[in-house]
Amino acid sequence: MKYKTLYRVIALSVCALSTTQSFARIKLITLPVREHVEIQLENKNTTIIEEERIVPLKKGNNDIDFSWHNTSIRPETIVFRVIDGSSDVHDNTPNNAKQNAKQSDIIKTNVISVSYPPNESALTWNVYADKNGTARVRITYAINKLDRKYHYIARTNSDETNMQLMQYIKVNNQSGESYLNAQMSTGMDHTIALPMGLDESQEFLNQSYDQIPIEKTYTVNASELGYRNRSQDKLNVYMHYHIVNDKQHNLGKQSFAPGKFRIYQQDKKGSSVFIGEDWGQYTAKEDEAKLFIGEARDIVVKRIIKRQKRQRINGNLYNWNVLLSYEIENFKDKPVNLIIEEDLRALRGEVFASRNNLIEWEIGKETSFSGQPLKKYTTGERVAYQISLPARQEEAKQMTLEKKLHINFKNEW
Amino acid sequence: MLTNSLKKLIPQCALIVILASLTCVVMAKNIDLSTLPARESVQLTIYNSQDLTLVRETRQISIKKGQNRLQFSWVNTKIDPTSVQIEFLSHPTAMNVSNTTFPHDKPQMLYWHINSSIDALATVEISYFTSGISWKADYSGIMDQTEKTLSMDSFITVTNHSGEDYDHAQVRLVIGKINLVEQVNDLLGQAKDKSRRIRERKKAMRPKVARMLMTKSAGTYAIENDAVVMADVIMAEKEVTKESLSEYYIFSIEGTESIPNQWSKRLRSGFAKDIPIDTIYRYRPREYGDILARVLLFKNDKESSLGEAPLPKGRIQLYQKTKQGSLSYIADLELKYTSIGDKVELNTGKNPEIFFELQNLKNWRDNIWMRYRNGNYYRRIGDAHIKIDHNSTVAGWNEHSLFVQRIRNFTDQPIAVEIRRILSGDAVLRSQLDIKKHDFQSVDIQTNLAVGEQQELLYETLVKQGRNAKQSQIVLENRKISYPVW
Repeated sequence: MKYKTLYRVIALSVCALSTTQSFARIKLITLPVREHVEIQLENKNTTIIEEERIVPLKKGNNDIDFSWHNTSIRPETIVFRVIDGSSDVHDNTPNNAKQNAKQSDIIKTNVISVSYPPNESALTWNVYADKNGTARVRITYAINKLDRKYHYIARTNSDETNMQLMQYIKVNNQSGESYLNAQMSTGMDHTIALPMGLDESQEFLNQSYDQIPIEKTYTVNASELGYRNRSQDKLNVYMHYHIVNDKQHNLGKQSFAPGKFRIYQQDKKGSSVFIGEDWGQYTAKEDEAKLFIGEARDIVVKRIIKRQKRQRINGNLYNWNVLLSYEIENFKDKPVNLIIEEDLRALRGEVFASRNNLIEWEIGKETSFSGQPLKKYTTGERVAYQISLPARQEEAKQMTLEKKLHINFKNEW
Repeated sequence: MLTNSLKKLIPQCALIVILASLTCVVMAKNIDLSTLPARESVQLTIYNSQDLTLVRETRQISIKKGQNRLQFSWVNTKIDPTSVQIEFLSHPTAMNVSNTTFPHDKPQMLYWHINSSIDALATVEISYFTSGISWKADYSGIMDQTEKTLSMDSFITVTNHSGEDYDHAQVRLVIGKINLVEQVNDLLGQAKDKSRRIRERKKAMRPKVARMLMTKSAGTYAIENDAVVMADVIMAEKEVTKESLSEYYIFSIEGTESIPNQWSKRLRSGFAKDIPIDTIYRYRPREYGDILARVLLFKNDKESSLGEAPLPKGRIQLYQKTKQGSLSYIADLELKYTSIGDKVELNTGKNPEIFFELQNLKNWRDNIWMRYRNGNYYRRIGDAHIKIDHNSTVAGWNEHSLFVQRIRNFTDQPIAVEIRRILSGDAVLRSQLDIKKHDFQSVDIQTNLAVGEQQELLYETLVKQGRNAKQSQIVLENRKISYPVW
């Protein structure tokens, strides 16, 4: 077992003294090198290593030792496959390996058993071969502490209508094993040759997309986003970018893994300025990502509950009539879209204490928003309206827009 | 004593000794001569529901006409002392055990006193229960790219912590749950208690023993490992035959296996190729949690090249073949015990490529009944000639909720979705969806989505509350539900 102390790395050994017991003390060992290694990063929780080796086999039973001292292999995931025939052979394998594969076509092999010695990170496959020769084997296993993080750099143009997006992957190897000739597979048939040394981290650009049209919105929501100045009734105004992961928006080739988005904007001089960052959620193809960039100070929204009135229907049964007013000013020199959201459970709590879990509400006649509530954001417990604010005008003409939201809470007791 | 020296040399072997002082009736003298008949064969029957293995071993021993004495000992092993039995396979009528003695000073030893009517080389079978040997099943599944078929390897891993090496043993595994009134380990504990008592007594006698040892000449005995080294056998994969027995199934591994103490051995117990699998996406919060779980279904039957025996419980490592022939990892899951003909369900968890969201769009109440304190009677709001009474209270009402179930299939395969919704109380469910009742308080909504399809499934629930509720039930009503206008 001397090799096990010599090699901290994974050692795959074939005992030339085939057909003897796997617990013999004297062994002659050949060490087949890795012909091909693939590190798969597709599964978000598990990193898979697939390595291919050419193993000499003798007619009869052969013991193949596999050990993984001081590495983070998950032994229950180890799969041993003898690649038979050329159909299963990896396209990236070198030519001489392919020739070997053809030779091995004629060897019939069978894994008879796997033995696990006590207190060792090792196993022995007992493989039967019907003739002498070599076999191409693939060993697949999951490994811990070889993980990756995704992050994104986005650059928007000066008027924030489109952006360039780059996805970076940082792979960190604390697994206890080095993979110096590894092909890193990141999904969507995308592989990159990258040596992974021990305790090393590698960062690389995985995908890059250009000319992505984006939408910019401003949102207020008293209960979720809060007030900028409570005593002055001024709400926080949050600015978001909306990125749609589809072909129309020059994306849609892959889903985006969760990660940090850092956003830069080109200034008029051509250099770029960091404008904010947010955690991006998993965004499937065709789905939409909403990134919170920062707070807008040049849009002021004052929210006031103007009126609340109780109307008895009978006994302890009432309707509640609530009127909200929003005073809106846009100090930006361009028109913007503002989304006003109202959480009705929170509003009901502000006005009265209800005994009911269910919220029954309707929009009252005094509402001054034009059109219907936004279907995308309106639910049984939330109402949302979108309004377009004109650009800032000269000081004397600066307009304060006032919008009213009239809500009837019905059948409460 | 000679037997003591042997035990020091082979501490972990169950040992059978024929004492040459054959006619001796009672206890051993200090000077004994013994021979060590080797195991001819050994068979292990391992039960995985209990920490129990039945060991049957055969040995050949020379038996003399008249009385014979056999010593059997099992130092440092986990054998149940109450279970040790001997049978005379070759001469069942000519030989019998007259009595069995458990010596007072040796806890893991017994003597059989055998009466024989002939001189013969007899084949005996010694059987006993031991703990410390276990087996478990595990599986490795590889799905094809289209998720339509699965190849599955089944394995069994035998682990030996019994304290004894079993060389060239026939291995049989029992699937099923047997009843034991006492655990082997507990019985072992009783033997250990006895051992402790003897140790304490010996400690007290130590000066006397020391004097005795000083008078004895020193010597060592070289004992060869008595395991038979079998001729090299070139073999194909071992076949595992499966047969049923009472409520249990027995898997017998072809040929013999050597499983040294502390080792584990994993053997392939089956292989099935091209198992047709169904993939269904299920929302069942009580079973799978609050996710739309991807569930793989296949049957343990002949069509799946399975169905020969039940599939014992075990972990399954699930992979999927990629275009390049590599394996991509899907999940590490538990495969539950599956009878012949039954369905295997594997929950592979959430698929991020499927958007699944339930949204409550609108709520309202109606059919509100007031209870009038004066007279203790009820009136419904909205009915004609209703009297206003400030002391009346709400006593019954109906709650309506409108829901939209949004599903988008961003995967590259069409999908089937099954959504279980629980509605407690006296409820009505209105929709034009494909809905089936599962039980009195839950329904299954079924739908199929093509690649890239988005669906908004609308339904309304009505739950009767207070005095309006009569009984716990769900009534399904076919009614067109449209998106609300607020």
